[in-house]
Parts: sequence; structure tokens; C-alpha cells
Amino acid sequence: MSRAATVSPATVMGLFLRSFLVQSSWNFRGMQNLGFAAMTIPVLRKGRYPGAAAASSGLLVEQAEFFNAHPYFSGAIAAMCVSGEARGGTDDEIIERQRRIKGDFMGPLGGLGDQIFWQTALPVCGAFGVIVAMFGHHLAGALVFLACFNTLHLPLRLGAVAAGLGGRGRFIAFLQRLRLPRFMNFSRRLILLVSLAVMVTGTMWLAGIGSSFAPALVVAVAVLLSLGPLAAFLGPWWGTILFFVIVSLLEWWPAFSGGRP
Amino acid sequence: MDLTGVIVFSAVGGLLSLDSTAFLQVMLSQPLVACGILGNLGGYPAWGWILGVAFQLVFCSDAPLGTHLPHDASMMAMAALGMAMAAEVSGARVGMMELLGASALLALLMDPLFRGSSMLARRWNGLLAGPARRLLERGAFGSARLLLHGGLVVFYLRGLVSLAVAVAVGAWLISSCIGILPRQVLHGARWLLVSMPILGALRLTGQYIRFPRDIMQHLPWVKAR
Repeated sequence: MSRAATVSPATVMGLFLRSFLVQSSWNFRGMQNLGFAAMTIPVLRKGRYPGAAAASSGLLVEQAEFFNAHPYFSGAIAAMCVSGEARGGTDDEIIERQRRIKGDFMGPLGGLGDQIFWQTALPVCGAFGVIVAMFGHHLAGALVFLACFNTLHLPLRLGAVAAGLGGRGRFIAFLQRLRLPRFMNFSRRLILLVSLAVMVTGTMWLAGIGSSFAPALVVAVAVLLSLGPLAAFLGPWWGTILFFVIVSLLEWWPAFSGGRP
Repeated sequence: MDLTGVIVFSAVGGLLSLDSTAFLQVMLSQPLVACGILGNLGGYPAWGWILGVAFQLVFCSDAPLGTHLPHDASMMAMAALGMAMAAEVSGARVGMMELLGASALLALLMDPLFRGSSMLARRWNGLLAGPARRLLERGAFGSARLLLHGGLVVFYLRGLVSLAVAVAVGAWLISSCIGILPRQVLHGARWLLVSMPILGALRLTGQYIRFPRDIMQHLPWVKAR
């Protein structure tokens, strides 16, 4: 079976769509193994063994071995495995090739995806959405958030699958074209800026709802000054709990709560 | 909100919660979106947005890295909204921000329930692997496919049940205790809600700045020493 016959637009789209279900049966033992098998097996059966599924049982079972990567890049790894299978060889050779691809890419792509999507894109897009929700229309905030995140996520995911079907060389070239180190440096600064903006605006917005006892900015600064050190020294969780207790206790102090509605 | 309302709310919430792990992951389950949808469906859009904003900001930096299960922000936010709506309908007479603050606090405390149920669902999913492998050995991919995606049902039931339990228990607690609690505690809950964006920003920047150590080392007298 030639590679050209396997890598059709339908194959790319099929792998891409099935990659949305890669974590459908996430478990502690094999992690994404069942989703990975569901992603690759239709292509393997159709591509190499038309109408002869029984002959490939060893290869099919291999697909359900341990697998874990970032869900947005798992489609790309599956595509590389399928691409390796399309180069032909015995079942043992194909299995060995797939194991090497999984071993080489699972960890790095997991870390990369976490950094790009979970630790950068999600907080930044979430912050943009929240700012729009606070000062614009609420529904627009949610839509801006979804649009920002998925404009980055969906093309990257589809592009990775398409590049992965061309083999590991083409996929690595695809990653190099993204210029990720520059993106990381920029995003780190952006996150600090966005978090500061959201810290003040979010607190002002929440403090201003249904409140007439203090200007919102004063409340924001007061909360920042009191919660900041607590969270810094005790950690966010215990800092918040202690903050809640202190504020509740302060409410018994007449000078603090006097005259408030 | 009566029992039927709680079940319908949890059914929709369970569907939205699938997005966080099992299906799509296009961020429909993020608190800002999920609470907005549920608030609009339940007739309390403003509450949905307020809780959505607050929870989105606190937990936006949480990441499911490897086997680490982060705080389940979407379930907590949806549970807080459900509790507030159910408590309001069952006659809790208190200010909006106090009610939302109390719900948020209870939802935060219920995080172990959501994480525990998520861990349980993932353990059950592990049981699917054996039968799926046996079917694949026989070449019966059609039947194996059902098992390979069987975790979807497990994840959905987990979301539905844990959300229904949290909403029902939380709403009952709020409606029963809101009249007994001193005004000061309710004010504290309100302040907790107000402080959530700052907490989120601290958690976010905490990934990059080990506050206060990194800042302290730039102080002139520390540098001189």
C-alpha cells in the first residue's frame, strides 16, 4: 500500500474528528490508550488490510497499549503511527516503528501542549473573555473566549494531523515553522500583564455589584493588600480560607461594619 | 428549583462537563461559558455570568498534567450556580452577592466530591481495556469500538450524579442555615467572591514568579548582603 493512497483528505479529516474523542475512556492504567486505538484502527484496517481484519489482530491490539500525550497533539502522533504503518513491512516491524514514534513524541508533545494551551492560551483567552464579559455584553465575553481559544487550537490541531500523516520529518518541520520559543517568551510577558489587568478590573467589577458602601477601586486595593500577603505566605488555598475568616471576624467590629447596608 | 429542576440542570451540566476531558475539549466546559449557558437556561443569566467570571479567574491556570487531576472548576462553578438557583427558589431571602458568595464557598468545599468522582470514573474506565483488547484479538472491531468509547457514558453519569448531589445538598444547606447564620459570615462569603479574581491572578503569576522569594532577592539590602 503506497503512502499516497493512505493520505487522502478523508483520512486527515477522519483522524482529526476522531481525535476529539481521544480521552473518551481516559483511565489510570493505559491513559489515552483506548481513545488512541479508536483513532488509528479504522485507518489501519482500511489502509492496509481491506476486508482482512483478522490478519492484523496483533497490530490492532498494539494500538490499545499505553499512550498519553497532550490531547490536541495525540491526533498528530496517531497520524505519524499510521504513516509509519503505510511504509509497509511485517507486523513486528510496524509495531516496533510505532513504539519508537510513541516513545519519541509522547513526552515532548505532552509538555509542549501543556505549555502552549493550558498554561498560555487558556489563561490569556479566558482573561480576554472575562474582560469583555465585565465591560461589554456577557454573551460576547463567552463568545470572544471560545473564538480566541479555538482559532488557535483547531487549525493547529488539524495542521498537526495533516503534517503527521506525512511522516515524522514533515511533522518536525511543521513544529519548527511555529517558532515556539519566540511565542513562549512573548506569552510569558503577556500573561503577567493580563493577570495584573484582570486582578484589578475583576475585583472592581465584583465589588461594584449591588454595593454602595465603598468605591470599587478602594475595595480592590484593600482586598489586594490583605489577600496578597496571605496567599503569598500560606499558599492560595489556605490564604483564602484565612482571609475569609479574618473578614468575617472583622465584620463584628462595629467601626468596620457600622453604617453599612 | 424542585427535584425535576435539579435533575434537568444536572443533565445539561453533565453534558457540558464532558467537554473538559472526554469529548471535544473546545472549552465549552469552562466556567465562563458553562455558567453562562446554564444561567440563561435557568432564568438567572446575571448569576451565571458573575459566578462564571469568578471561577474562570481563579482556576484559569489549572492544568491536567499527566495523571494530576486539577480542581474541577467547571463542576464547582456549575454546582455553585445550581445551589444558588435552588436556594432562591426554595425561599432563601438574602442579598444576591451574599447568596452567590455562600454558594461559591460551599462549591469550593465540595471539590473533593468532584475530584473523587472523576478518579472513580477513570478507574472504571480502566475496566474497559481488558474486554476491548479481547475483542480486538478476535478482530471484532465493530463491538470493540463501543467499549473504546464506553468511557463517555461513565464520564457523563459521573457528571450528572455528582452535580445533582452537590446541588441538592448545597441548596438544602443554604436554605436551612441562611436564616441562622450571622450577617457577618454572609459578608465574609461576599468578600470571598470579590477576592476571587485576585486569588486567580496570584495563582497565575505564581507559575512565573515565586513570590515573595523572587521579589525579595531584588530588594537593595538583600542584594547588598
